[in-house]
Amino acid sequence: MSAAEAAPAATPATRTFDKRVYAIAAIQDALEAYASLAELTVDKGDEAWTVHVTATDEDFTSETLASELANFVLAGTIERKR
Amino acid sequence: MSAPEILTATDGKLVLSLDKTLYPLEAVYGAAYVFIDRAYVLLGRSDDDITVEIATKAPADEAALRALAGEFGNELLSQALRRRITADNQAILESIVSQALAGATGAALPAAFVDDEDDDDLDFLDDPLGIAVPWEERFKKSGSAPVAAGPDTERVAGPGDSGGHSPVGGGEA
Repeated sequence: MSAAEAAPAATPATRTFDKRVYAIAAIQDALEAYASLAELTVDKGDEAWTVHVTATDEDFTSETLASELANFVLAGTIERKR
Repeated sequence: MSAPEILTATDGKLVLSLDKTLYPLEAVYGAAYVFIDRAYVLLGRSDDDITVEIATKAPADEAALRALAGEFGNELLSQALRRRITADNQAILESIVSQALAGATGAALPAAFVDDEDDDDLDFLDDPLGIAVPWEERFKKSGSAPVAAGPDTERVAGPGDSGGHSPVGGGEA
């Protein structure tokens, strides 16, 4: 079992996105894309945005969805930086 | 520190620390993009370093994680080198593209590409290179003996010449 599959669905998973590394627009796109699969709450700090992910779809764990969301944000950021 | 430093490599999760003066953020983006099909990648940043968390999608032991760290380091170097080559050749690339665009739009070409000879006043019947001159005229030797007529030689047609066709067989009409 990989790290992304370790946590049960109800346990929230957290990912922190440094604003110097990630594009805010990419985070917002990811929040929209994953809204139907998980309950998402965002703490908007000065240096980073922290996203708390709680899966609402029983087919996925919160940890898996948080990791997929992080990849989605990374890909969106890279596409915007090119 | 020069090479990527492995901070942790356990439980299917690899954490690397990169010297940001050695590896620009764009190179880290490029390397991370290569890995997102088989791993979950999360980037972080401190004052001096960039941290990279890589969690494999498939189960992986510590040896596999360390091998993954090596692959990531190689990809980082590749991306950094490509970025440097692109920067070094930026002026050449811009020059080539601008000349190509200028040629496509009909704008003035650089002097090296301009033909100085003005051939626009030539008529289509003019033949300055003598291309229309028959081969026999061009290479005819003055004062030489006439060449005997044969299957490969041309001759002037005369009266009674049937053009090579002899329906009665043998003599001329």
